Amino acid sequence: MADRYLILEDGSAYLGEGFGSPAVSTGEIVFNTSMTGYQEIITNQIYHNQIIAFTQPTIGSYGINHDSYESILPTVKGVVVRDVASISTNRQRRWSLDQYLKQQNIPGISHIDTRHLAKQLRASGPMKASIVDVADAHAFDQLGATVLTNQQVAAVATPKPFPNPDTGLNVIVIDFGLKHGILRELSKRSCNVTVLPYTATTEEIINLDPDGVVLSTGPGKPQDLPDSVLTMIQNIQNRVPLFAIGLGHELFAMANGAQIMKLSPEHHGANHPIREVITNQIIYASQGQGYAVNPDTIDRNKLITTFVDLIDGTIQGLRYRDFPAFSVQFFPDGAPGPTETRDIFDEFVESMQQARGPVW
Amino acid sequence: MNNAVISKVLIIGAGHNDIGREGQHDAAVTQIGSAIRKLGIAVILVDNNPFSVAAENNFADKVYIEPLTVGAITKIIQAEQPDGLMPSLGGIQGVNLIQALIRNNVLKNNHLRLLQWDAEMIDLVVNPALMSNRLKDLSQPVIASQVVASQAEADQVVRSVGFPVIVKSVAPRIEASRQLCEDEADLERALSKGFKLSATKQCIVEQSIVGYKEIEFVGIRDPKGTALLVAGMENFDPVGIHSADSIVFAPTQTITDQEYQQFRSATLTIMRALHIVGACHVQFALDPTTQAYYVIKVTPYFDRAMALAARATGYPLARIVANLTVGVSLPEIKLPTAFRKQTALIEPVLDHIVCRIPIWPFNVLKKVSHQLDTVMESTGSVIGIGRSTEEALLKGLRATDESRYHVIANQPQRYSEGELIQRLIHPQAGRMLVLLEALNRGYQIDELAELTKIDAFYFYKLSHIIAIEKALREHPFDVHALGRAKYFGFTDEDAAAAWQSTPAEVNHFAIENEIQATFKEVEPTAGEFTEQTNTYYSTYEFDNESTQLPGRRAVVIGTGANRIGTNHANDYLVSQLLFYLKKADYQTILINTNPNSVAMTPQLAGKRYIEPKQVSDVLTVLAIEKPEVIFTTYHDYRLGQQLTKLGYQVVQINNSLPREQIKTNDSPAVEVITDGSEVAIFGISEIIAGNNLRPDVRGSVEVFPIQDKAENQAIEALSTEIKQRVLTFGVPGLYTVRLTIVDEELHLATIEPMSLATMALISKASGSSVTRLLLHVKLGESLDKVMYDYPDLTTLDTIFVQANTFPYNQLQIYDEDEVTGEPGHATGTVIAHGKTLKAALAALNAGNESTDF
Amino acid sequence: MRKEVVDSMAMKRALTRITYEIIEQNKGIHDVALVGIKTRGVYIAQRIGERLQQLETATIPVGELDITAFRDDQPVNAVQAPMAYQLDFDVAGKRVILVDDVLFTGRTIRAALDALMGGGRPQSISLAVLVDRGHRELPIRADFIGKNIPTALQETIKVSVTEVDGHDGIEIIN
Repeated sequence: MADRYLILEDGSAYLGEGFGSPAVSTGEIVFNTSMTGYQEIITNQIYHNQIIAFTQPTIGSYGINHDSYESILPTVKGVVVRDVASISTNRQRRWSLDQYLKQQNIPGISHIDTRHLAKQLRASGPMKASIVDVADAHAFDQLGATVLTNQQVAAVATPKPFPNPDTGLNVIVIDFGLKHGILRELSKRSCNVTVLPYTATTEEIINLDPDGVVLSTGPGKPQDLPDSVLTMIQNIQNRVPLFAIGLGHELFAMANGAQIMKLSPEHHGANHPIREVITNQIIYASQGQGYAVNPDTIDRNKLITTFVDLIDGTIQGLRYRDFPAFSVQFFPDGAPGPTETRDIFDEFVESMQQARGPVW
Repeated sequence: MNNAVISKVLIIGAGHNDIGREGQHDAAVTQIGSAIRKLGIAVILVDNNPFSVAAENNFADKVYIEPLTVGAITKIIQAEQPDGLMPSLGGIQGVNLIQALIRNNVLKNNHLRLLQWDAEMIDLVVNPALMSNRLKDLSQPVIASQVVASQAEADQVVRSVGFPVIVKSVAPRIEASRQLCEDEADLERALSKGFKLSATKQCIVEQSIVGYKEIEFVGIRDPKGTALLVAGMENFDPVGIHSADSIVFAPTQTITDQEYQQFRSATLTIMRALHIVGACHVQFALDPTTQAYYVIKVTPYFDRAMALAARATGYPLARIVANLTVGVSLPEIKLPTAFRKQTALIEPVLDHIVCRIPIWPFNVLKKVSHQLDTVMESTGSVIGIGRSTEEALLKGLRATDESRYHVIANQPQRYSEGELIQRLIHPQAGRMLVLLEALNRGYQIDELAELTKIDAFYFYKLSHIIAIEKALREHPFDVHALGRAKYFGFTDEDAAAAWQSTPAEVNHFAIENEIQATFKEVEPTAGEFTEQTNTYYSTYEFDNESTQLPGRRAVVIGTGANRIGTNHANDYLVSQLLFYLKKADYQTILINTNPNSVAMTPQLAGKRYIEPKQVSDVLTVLAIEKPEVIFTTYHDYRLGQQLTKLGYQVVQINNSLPREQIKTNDSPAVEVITDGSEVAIFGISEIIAGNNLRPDVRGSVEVFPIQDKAENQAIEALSTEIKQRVLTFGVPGLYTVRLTIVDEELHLATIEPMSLATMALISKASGSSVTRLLLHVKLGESLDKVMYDYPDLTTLDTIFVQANTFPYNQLQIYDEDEVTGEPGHATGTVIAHGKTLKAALAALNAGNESTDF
Repeated sequence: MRKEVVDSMAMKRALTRITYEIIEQNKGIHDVALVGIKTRGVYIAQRIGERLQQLETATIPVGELDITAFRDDQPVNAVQAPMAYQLDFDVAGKRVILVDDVLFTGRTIRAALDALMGGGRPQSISLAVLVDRGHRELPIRADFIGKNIPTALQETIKVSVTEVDGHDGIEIIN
């Protein structure tokens, strides 16, 4: 395989071997410490326009599975790893990771000292980076000149509503770059889901007579989204149970007066201890966040902090005091990652059932 | 639980080493004992293993060297009145003991609380059928197994579990094997035979999971219910081969996140439901075609998987378990400052790959079947750590020291095609060569995966290794070929063999071309946080994380794998050396690959390199550390010579095992130490025939000290001669001077380096570490400076005895020529004491009535 | 026949949700006091109390009430009649939340109200139950419900709590 380079905004360059697409590509580089689930991570739209460096040394060991996609069209800008096994040994025997990345036009680079890279990024925070064929001044100039879009949500969220019909509670999912795990968990609970674009208005939502609304995960900085999203949240949250995840959580916090800050170092992994405040229990969850709610800006008359990351104290969950509207920063569906947080979907379903009253 | 009410903890040790019982328990005791003591809680330890490191060196407040029997332990409990009993450090036999103590009301009568577990747990551990039912209650899938008395009943079982099934006779009149049935015809045959053999006319029909993937997870849980996963590991070999005899990878290599989370969640659910406080090892079988799984075994006490999990991740498992045991919760644990504050709570993630390889006794015990099955045969294991599967595997294979170079010898094997296929289907020890041979002969990966039930992923990796080696051979002194080979785990020696060159020449070429090893830390956060475990492995990458320790540095070459022949005795020696070198103000550095080694205990060495002992591997470490002195032990004599030749200061310690079995009674010996100019006598030992202990004993019994007036006087008379003879050796060290009786008079016979067993025996009998004395005379100190704590032997009124234990029964060796009881066959040693020889022998036998002495 | 209808995880969630609903409906926990009805209602009240304290870092008074003497469907026992409830706080002016495991006919709750009212004048009394199984015989309804479980009259609902039963869960016994 061809020699290629991973070059970083700070001028550093790593020599490696290309796999996947031979394209030259630029994005913000972040490192992820999950030990399993490379396919779920690569296909998660929160990584739109980003290059993911895996600290797990080998990825690709079982190819690509039909049931591990977190989006239909992944939009990561690159995959960085120590060692790639470009094989398909899984029971479906469909794609190898290499074939899949070629098909999706995503370049990968292996033979990188990802441990050193992780330590470097831990110190510097995320940087712009490119996967290129030649690490010359021109390549660095190009990298420096590249302006990454701040319209990530518009790029990945659905432009049109679509249904995911079932026979249970009527749930509206607002799509900011939806992770399929959310639909999977709602499906398991027989929810009749309609996915609406993030531009949906309060009326459009209420007209569908929802039992509850989910604000989905998504990429980028919440402040880059139009204020109309916050207005919609303010209007919806006291009418039906609301469950917000990831970017949705950040927007829910903003809609209730909190400010969002850049998080450094970021959280990309599944091994931080998180305290559930109400029970004082510690749980583990899948995380992928570059931003966090600034705890000093929370209006405690409105919001209760429900989950806290014990490593750096970042807020991992909020709840409105006066009505069943709540949010989590982590991914309660796992995929990849611990499954012990999936029952937050049950909590949501039970809130909707309670809001509807007894069925007899 | 509340630690305020616990002031004294009793730990029951694991007893003598054995197959499946290496140093991992003692390693755990050393760490847990000292961690509990740091919390201000007293630790009482009882063990009868002379090579227990925990039983020396202040790892416990009080040590009882007593038989591991209900009677002896009851007495200790009555005398000491401990308030907490730790059940997880004595292996399964420790759990059995505790069950008996509970049944005899010893815990209740002495207000002794069982730590870590509910009382129910003891019964579940001892009785797998109870555990199986309990797991069913928790909705965990367990292997279906049913007793049937007719074909119709058997058919009913098969209808629910499907073929293949295993049929075995209930209470068979002769030894009967398990029959694997693939279809109706097989089943009918097996049943008719099985019913005939059965005294009760019954058979057990059990779902067969042979060929499934075997997965091992280790979790940890605190008294408040917080639980996390420490490590997920995957067996290279499928179910059907004992997991200890399998090659194991950490982390898992071929399972999806969905499968991984399924196992993580099952592990934590089981721990929570059973209220386990501490660590727990759960084994699973995974059907690779359906994602369905079964729980095979739940082990809540320390075992090899926990040792591997701790070594592989760098997570301070034992220290954390110590805290949990006495009621400290995970968020409250205070770790040393080298760790990040919340490390106990962070689920370990790896950015390296660890490969564990079993070690076989077949080079010594030649008549044992090499067939791998559900009975454990390996005596130990080694690990290789790297940044790719290939590198970890090659380093692991190299660490087995099985050949001069590693096993990729590219020597065509002389099997016939039929034989090769047989070997693929019915695996034998050392199967890696067979797999490589099949690949070399052009077998397809899918075909091999089907025949062997080994995941195709590994065959891709093995093919890659073959391709790299081929490229190396075809491109002599090619920078790219060498760089790639080293990047994936090959060494100077490998390239030298491929290029018909010398390792030194290859090394020179590599350095010139900037192909240089770098070291990475083994730590539990994959670089996300700063953790200082002081444990390193080599790879060939950009960044090097290991820098020279400041101060006076001593490198100790570890024992490596536990081999048959009490290699753990050597591990004890290495541990003691590390301990006393540190006391002598050396910065200690250990090179070792044995995950179960006591020497790996973090407190013992200042720094650890998990590296094979091939010369180039060792030189890479030495290039960084530049030690003042290097210590090698018996097995590494040649390595020591090579290092000496290269100009390193090497202290070779050649105390080993007795050369041969002494079967006759009355063979006294004088045990001495010399600094090269003076000789001091420790006392008289004697080897007596094993039948003094019990009629069926094959080995012998060693006794120390012999308090016989006449003998003492005779030796007094010989002392000048003894000293002269010892001094003619010239080399400072420990020696055994054997005596013979000629015409009823004692004469000097032979002189030999003192055996490790004798060193441990004298240390335990005298309370003075003989290893410490050895170390100091080896470092050039004079006897009058070092002997200060050796007691006046005439004041000792206790006789110590010890005997080796053997693996003959476990390995099903009944051949009289092989069952010799020679020290080289030993897998463990038991020590006991008494006021008289008779009492001491009775104590040695107590609790060991069926031990293979 | 026994059938588990709520497992320990679901029971944990129900208590969590009730706790949040108490905060929602009381606009905080000012003056809130919990009173558990013996036996299992007491443990449920304690757990809700612990949850409220975790969230609001303020101490919530939790008391217990033994209403066997107050029930109108039990023969009056002159000796037991004056039995008081064990509260180490004054209910006067408090927003009392009565807590019980199962709401069935409503007679237990009526008795509890009698007992409570005898001890002072609370600002308000509301009712939290882990299970509402229907079949009311009195005009009583719960303000906070863990789980609505429709049942037949002859069925029994068994709530288990770790403190008494060794595990958490809700079963229907037929």
